[in-house]
Amino acid sequence: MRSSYVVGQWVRRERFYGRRQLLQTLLEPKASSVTWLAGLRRVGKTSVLRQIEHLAFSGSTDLVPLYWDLEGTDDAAGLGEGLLDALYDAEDELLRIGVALEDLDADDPWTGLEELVRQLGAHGRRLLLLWDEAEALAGLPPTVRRQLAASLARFEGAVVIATSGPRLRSGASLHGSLAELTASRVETHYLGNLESNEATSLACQDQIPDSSRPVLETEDVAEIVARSGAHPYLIQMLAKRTVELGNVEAAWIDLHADRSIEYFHRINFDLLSEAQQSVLRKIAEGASFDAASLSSTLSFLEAVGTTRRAHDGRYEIANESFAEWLRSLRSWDAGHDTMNPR
Amino acid sequence: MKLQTTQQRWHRSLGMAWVGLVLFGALGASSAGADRWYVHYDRAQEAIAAEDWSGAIEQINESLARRGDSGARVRSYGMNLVDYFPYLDLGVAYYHLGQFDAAIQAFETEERMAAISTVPSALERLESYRQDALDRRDQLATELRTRSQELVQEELATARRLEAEGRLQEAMAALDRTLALEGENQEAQTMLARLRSELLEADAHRARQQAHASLLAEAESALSSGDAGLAAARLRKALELEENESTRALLEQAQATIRNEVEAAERTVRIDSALNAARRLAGGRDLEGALERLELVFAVDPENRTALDLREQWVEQQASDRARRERNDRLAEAEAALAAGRPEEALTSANLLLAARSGDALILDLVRRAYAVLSRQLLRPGGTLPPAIRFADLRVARDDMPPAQVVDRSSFRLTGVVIDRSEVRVEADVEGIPVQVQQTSQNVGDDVITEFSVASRLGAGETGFRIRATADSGLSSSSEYRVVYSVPWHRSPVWRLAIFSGVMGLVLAGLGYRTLMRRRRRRRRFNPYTAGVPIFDPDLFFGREPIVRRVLQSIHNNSLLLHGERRIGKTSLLHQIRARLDGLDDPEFAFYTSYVDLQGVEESWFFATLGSTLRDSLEPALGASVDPPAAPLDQEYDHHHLQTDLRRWIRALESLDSRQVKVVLLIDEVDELNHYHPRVNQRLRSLFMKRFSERLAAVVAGVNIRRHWEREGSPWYNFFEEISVDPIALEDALQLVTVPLAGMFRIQAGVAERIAEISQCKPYLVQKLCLALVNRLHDQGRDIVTLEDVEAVKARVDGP
Repeated sequence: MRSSYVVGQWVRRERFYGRRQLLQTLLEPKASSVTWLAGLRRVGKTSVLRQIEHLAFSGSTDLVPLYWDLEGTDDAAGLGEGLLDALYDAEDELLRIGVALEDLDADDPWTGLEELVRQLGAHGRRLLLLWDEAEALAGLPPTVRRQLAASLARFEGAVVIATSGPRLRSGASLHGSLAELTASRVETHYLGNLESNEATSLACQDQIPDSSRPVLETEDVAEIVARSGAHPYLIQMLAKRTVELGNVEAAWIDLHADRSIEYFHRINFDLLSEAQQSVLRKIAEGASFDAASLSSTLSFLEAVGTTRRAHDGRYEIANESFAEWLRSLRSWDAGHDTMNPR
Repeated sequence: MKLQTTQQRWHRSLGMAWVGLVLFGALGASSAGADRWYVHYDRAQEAIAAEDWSGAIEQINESLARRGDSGARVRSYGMNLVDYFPYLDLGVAYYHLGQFDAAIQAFETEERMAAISTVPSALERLESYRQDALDRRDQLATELRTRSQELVQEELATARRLEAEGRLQEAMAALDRTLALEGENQEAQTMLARLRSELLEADAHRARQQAHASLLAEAESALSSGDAGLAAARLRKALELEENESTRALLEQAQATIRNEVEAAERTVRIDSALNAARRLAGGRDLEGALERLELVFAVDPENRTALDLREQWVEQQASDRARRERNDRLAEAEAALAAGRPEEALTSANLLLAARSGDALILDLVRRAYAVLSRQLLRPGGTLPPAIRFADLRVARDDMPPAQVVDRSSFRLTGVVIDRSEVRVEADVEGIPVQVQQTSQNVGDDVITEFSVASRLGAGETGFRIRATADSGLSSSSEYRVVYSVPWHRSPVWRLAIFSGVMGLVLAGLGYRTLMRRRRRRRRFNPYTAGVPIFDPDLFFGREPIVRRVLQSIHNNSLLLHGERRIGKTSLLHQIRARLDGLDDPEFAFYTSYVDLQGVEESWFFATLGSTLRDSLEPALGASVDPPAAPLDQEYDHHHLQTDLRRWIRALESLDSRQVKVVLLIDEVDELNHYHPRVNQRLRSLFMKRFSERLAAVVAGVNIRRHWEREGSPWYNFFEEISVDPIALEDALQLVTVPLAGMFRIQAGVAERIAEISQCKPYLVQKLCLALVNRLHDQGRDIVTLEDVEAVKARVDGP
């Protein structure tokens, strides 16, 4: 039987699970709002944008989404390229609304974008800019940023949702850059793990027809959700392997022989500040710390899905795999080569 | 010091020289006087007088060294005169030493000197001595000859005796001594020649016997350890050394074992293939097809247990399916009959059903209701009737004969019921012989229904069952039921013999055909193996089915990375995946594959390469409707153009097929991306961020796409599901060795395992070794691969 799990590509429609509350919030924004959707790698930021795009195009909202991938953009040319790609990607949907790309008669994409906004306005619609990998904005040359800011300022009623990691290379967050670019108040949402029922739904794949669903025992589903900490990427990796191998334990072992998991933990760990990393390690090792003085850090870590609260209120690492990896860093610190902690 | 004049110096040196000469002369004179010929000659005379013949010879030689010519009255020292005849004295000395030849020669030399002729006494002495020497020499020669002849005869006799005793070497030594004494002795020469060849022959024979024994021992050891191939090779060599009945019998035994092993292996492969095919068909509910496929197994191995079990299982399943359908039809008929007040008819239908499904609750309920109606009809109030026997009646009418049930199996069970107002005792006999009856009773209204069952094994032909039921009232009834057992044609001995003959004929024909094909392949040096090129033939692709299956299960949703060391088979795997996707008849997805090898592709040509490969791959499907590329496919063709083209091509494909389109990019040597600018990688990945990327997937293969791009913006960060391509399993490596060789060469036991060991189950190395082995066998005109062959090619394959 085909596997219905997706471990690398973004998803939407029936393959998108959970985040209902978030989607509802994002699709009913206040006028001219700017949202920063921050999260660690592989938590589903791109999928959220694509699902928003899908819901916006298929729903009754007046928002017209334009998904714009900013990955690798570091100059005006790159920005223009990305914008053109975004426009071509949405060509069919724009045409259905009544906007043809050929009608965007402009010498440069910025002018074309402004023309698009005007045409959408003429149809009673508003532009919803979906910026993915928006860290790139912070690295743009100042002149380019100014030009972009100037264009954005002319987008009346436009809405922006930008995704990125929680921290830029500089250590700052994207929040400031976005605020500066859009000259607006930026609302921040952290994307963390799924809710328990959403995670179960994802593991069971209950949004697809019965005949296509994987065959998993109820206790295996619970085990998968528990071990993965309801992280969408880990759920799918573990569930897929479980279906292939027939056994959660065997799948868990096989998964950790896969270097992707090690890289996954390391990348996410490196996205955090030193203080955040230190707190995580203390939690993983069961060391004591002053929770009161670290409340904002702890809150952040929980929001991005790295930690959770146990029944007794104690902080714990959200998934077993990450906890073991964090504990293995002690050997790394001691000078042993633990590229593969297992 | 006062300088001397030249003249004074000249004079001084001349004077010094003169003094030196004088001194030297004085010294020389004194030494010369001490070593004169006559001194030694005197000493010689003294030695002769003292009969010191050796000393005399020595002094005479010294004298001769100083004066070599003889002479009479020769001045020695002072005024002394002597007769100087040194050769005469030499001869005398030699005479006395018994060296007569030397003495004679000395005498002749003296005579030739002529001086002795002037001294008669000396001459007379010379002649006398010479004559004596001659006589003595002749005498000695005679004695020597006689002695030599005696010795010769002795040695010959010794040689003969030793030869008779078989001590040839010693005999030859005796003959050597004979010939040393008498070089021309014919007998010795003849005997020596004969002994030499006898010795040679004996040595050769001994060597052959030893070699034969050694080969025989090796062969017996090999046979007992199951290595018939090695045993046959050794036995054949042994026969070359010595033709021997027992050795030949052993060889035939080994050859028979080899034939059986090869045939068994081939049979096993064919049987396994047919069984797997049959199982697949059965899994797809095509039981008829599965049963047909089993016949292929029976043709090769009529007694194959697995096939027989499967056949039995599937035949039962077919029968069960049929019975289920029939049951439902007949149940409906029975209910209708009962409702129409025809209980007998209902019972007939119900009995037919109960014959197959005796415990079915619905049927039993119907029977009970039917019997209730029937009993009311039969048992009139106020009367007393004997028990009513009703069979599960499957009898058919026959002309002029009682009706009978016809069966095609020997095991038979007769069932029925007895209806009475009380419990009954049921008895049965088969052709007059009492048999056991199983019975159970239950009350149905006012009646007691007793179900009975009688089992029996039928002989061919007709058998009569008689049932007798006796009620508590004492009333009884009996009824007969006849059964005809007709042995199916396919179980008759004649047919079995015909089948067997047919199978043997097929087997022999198959063997003959195989032999013919084998010879043809050998003539054209056919080699099924390749090394270094991808494997396109699925029959030569072993051990990767789990990976292929995993890819096919995931490809509709995910992109995959196949990673493994060089030469592990990644390229072959990509091609096999492509072939499988191209041939997939999927109800949900329409796969379109495109294979591109990045090796040697420069960065500036990357997107053009992708674009042209995709266009060429999709053109057959799109045909005339394919849009031309967005730009010329050269270095100016970039990722924008590719996106535009992909979008259009996918849209066109979607218009052709109602299924979900999936374009699968198979990228080989993906490590080349490591050499490209990060921007190129980002642009490639951006293809998979587009909306049309839901219709796009990639399977990439490489040694290690650069994982140290671990920054969060890395294009390939956790993008792929990674699958490790490792050496294949041992059983697959063994199949890779044995299956392609089947029908062409035989393989000695242990060869496949050794190849798997050397190659570490890496398919490329297995292919390389087998390629070399096949070529080697063609070169040598042999048909069996041995362990020696493997070791020989191993060195060649390993290289310097």
